[in-house]
Order: sequence, then C-alpha cells, then structure tokens
Amino acid sequence: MLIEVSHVSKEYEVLIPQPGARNVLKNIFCPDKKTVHAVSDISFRIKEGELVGFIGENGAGKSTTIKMMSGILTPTEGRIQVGGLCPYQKREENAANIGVVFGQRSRLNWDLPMMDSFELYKEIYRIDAGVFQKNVDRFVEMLHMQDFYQTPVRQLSLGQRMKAEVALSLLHEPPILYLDEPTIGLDVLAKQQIREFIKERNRLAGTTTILTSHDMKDLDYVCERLIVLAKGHILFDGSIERFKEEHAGEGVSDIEDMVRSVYEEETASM
Amino acid sequence: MAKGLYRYLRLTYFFTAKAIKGMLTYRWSFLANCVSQALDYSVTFLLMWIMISAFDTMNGWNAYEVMLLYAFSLFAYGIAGTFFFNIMNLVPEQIRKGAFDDVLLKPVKILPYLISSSFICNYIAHMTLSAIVVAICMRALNISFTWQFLGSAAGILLCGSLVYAGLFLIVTASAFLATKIDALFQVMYFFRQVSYYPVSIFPRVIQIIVTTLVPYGFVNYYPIRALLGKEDNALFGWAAAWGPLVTALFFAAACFIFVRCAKCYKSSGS
Repeated sequence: MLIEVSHVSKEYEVLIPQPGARNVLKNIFCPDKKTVHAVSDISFRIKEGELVGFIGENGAGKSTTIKMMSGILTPTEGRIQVGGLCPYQKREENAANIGVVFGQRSRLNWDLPMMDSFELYKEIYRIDAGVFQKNVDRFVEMLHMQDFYQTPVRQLSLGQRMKAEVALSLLHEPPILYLDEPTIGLDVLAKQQIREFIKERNRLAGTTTILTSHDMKDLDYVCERLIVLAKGHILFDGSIERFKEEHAGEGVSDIEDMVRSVYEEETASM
Repeated sequence: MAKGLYRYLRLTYFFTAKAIKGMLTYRWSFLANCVSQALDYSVTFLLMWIMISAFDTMNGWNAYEVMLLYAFSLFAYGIAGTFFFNIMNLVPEQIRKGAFDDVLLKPVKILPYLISSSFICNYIAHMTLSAIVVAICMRALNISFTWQFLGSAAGILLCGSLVYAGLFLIVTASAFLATKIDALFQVMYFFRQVSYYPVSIFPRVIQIIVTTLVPYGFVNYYPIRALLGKEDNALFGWAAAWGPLVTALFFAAACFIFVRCAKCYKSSGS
C-alpha cells in the first residue's frame, strides 16, 4: 500500500472572542474556546498508481486531510504512512516524494519567466540535469506552453500560470501528486488540457494522484475512485462507477446532481 | 554535514542569481531605492559629524572615531540584512496567510532554506556608503590600510553581522507564536541606536544589556575600542577578545529558538 491512513482525527482549538467592550479583558486573558473536529476517525488506503478524487463541502476536512498526508499537519489521533514513511515525522524525506499544487496559491517567481522557477526547483529537488531537460521539454509540449514560456509570470493569465504550476510540481517525477483545486477559475480549454496532462502522467509514469475539486467534471474525467467527506467523516469510498450506480435516480444522471443530493442529505441529517 | 552545507551554498548561489535577475527587471526602482538610501544615511553621518564636532569628544572618542563605529554598525547590518532581512520581512505574513506551507512541502531544512532563498540586493547602498566612511575615517585617524587591518575589519564585520542576523531570526521566530511582531521589531530597532555611539556613554544597566543579553556592544564598540587602543571607562572594556565567541553563541541561540518556534507552526491548526 502506498498511502495508509488509519483512524486519523484532527482537532484544534479555536478562540471565540465575545463581542462588546466589557469582554476585552476576558478575550485577552480567559477567552472562550471551542474544539473544532476537522477530521474524525477516517481510514483509507491508496494503492500505487490510483487516481483518487476527494470531495466534500467547504469545511468537510479535505484540505486538512491532504495537509496531514503531505506532512504539514500532525494528526491528533491515528497514524499515516506514505511510502513507508510517516509524513509529519519525516517531513523532509516525504517532501522529496510528493508534488503538490494549490490552486489558490502560486509558487512561481513572480518577476521572471517560468523557466527560472523550474531551474530553482531543479536545485531544490536535486533533479538530474538530463531528466530535468527531458521533463521540461515534454511538459511544455503537453501543456502547450511554447507561446508564453519566456514571458514573466506576472504577465501570464491564470490558466497559463496554473499549467506552469502543474508542470513545476511534476519536474522531479514524484510518485505521489496532490492537487488542491487545480482548475479553480480556469476556462474550459485550460481545464481540459490540465485534466489530460494529469491523466497522461498517471498513464506514463504511474503517478498516484489525489485530487480535490469542486468541479465534478475534473473528477469524472480524471479519477477512478471517489472519497466523499462530510463534517470530517468519510461518507463514501469507492469507484466512481459505484457512486453513480448508487446515486442515480429520478432525473439524476449528472454526477454533479448526485453529489449535490449527497450534500443535501448530509445537511438534512445534521 | 559538509554535503549539507555545500547543498545550501549552491542553493544560495542560485537564489541569489535569480534575485539579481529579478531586481534587474525593476532596475530603475532599484536605483532610485539605492540613491534614496545613500542620501538618507549620508545625511545621518553628516549630522552626527556636526554634532560630535560641536562637543569635541564623546567620552574620549572624537568625531571620526564615532563615525567609524557607526559605519561598522551599518556595514554589519547591511551584510546581515542581505541574507536575513527578507526572512523577517516575509515569513510572518506567510505564516499568517498559510503560505509558509510551501516551505514545509519542500525537501529542505527550514532555516538553511530560508537563509539560502532570502537574498536581496537592497543593502548595496548601506555597505558602499559605510565603506566610503570607513576609508575617510581611516585617513583622518592616520590608520594605515594593511592586510592586518583588513583581516580585523572582516572579522569584526562577520561577528557584527551574526548579532544582527540573530536578531532578525528572533523577531521572526516570535511570529510562529503570535501573529504580530511589530513591537518586537521596534524594540530591536531602538536598541540598535545604542550601537551607533560609544557604549561607555550609556548608564551601567544599558551597558550590561548590550554586552550580555543582546550583544550590540560586540558589533562595533568593543572590537574597535581594542583596535584603536582606546582607554575609556567602559564597564566591560576588556571584553573585545570574547567577541567571536559571544556573537557566535548568540547566533546559535537565535537559530535554535527559530527552529524550535517553527515546530509550533507545523503542529497547529491550518
């Protein structure tokens, strides 16, 4: 098993400041606290080469789970093993095996063309020169980046920047790729090109891919398996085909409608 | 250990090259910045010189000797700032926005990586101006420019920059524990003023603070006092020989505090 998540929970305390001037001292010295259960007792295993989609409403615990798997956060309870390593204990070693794309944040050098960021990553990830050049050439071609390859990143459109981000994350050929909303804000053509790129990388290099997205078409096209999170629990874990079979119904044939009905059921049961 | 050092030195080289390349895309802004800094500090030097000339000496230190103190302090600040200022400037905001995750997702040790990647060109004006003032003062004080002097000066600057670097790190480290660090920076900046003048003019309690707790005294005062063979009523006049040890220990302590505080970020909520 490449990724193993066992009975993992994540809680953290949040301060609740009370309104009003008379509560200022209280808020500073004795603030009210609330425990947020971001993730509660989740378990799953991901095999090498799988394409897994993580979905859930905002606040369901998707980003928290990905952060724990990538070593940024430590679970309150439970255990995570990624490729035989514990990611939050062996953060540096684990980082060499993963690529991460955050749709809402950029890691590219803003003032220079993407190639400069690529070269820095070559040094940070200690990529062999031959492998590096081969990957750069291949990714530029696969993502159709020839036209804006030399343009400073600050002058690129969101779609162009996102392609560069995805390419950046795979330069060191990590066995695992995490994508946190990679297609957010992109036009349909850019979305399709990125989806195809991810799928192609999985086909050629066997990259285990974990994707979170609110665009169901991303998941439908790219992923084979779906994990649905709600309020920190796993609601569904299985193939996309099985999800569609289980949730198809009267007038519900689109995966987006199915997911919406799952969220609505969950909210109703709270 | 040596392999690690080589790796981070190599990274520093690449990041520095990219920083300079990036700076060149905004070269007019950079030049304007340099000119304004040069003017700013030139005026300060001039005012200081006028003030001290009016008093003839400051506790046995004449105008040129005091300017020499200030120039060494500024030069050391410039060296430290070149590699450490941007850590203090950018990391707290990254922590606040969650962008610090990007550092944790790389296969690097946090502190060496931050030092490698934070090079900025902005302190060229500081260092150039300081060098010119040192040359002027040496002429006026009849100090000959020997290799021995150069070696001593390099040593003094290195020790001085360790103190400033340590302070930048401590101020940044506090951002891992609390969100705002402005007050701490102001305190640091205020005490920096002490290093512009002979420490012996200050009350005992200040002299103790800048010799032990926050070793500003070793940035310029104690070593230059020894270099010039000054005899004044400093509390710790004999301390010059301890400079390298005290500053190295201070820097090591600052690194330790920084790394320890960074661990708090990792295990707290997103």
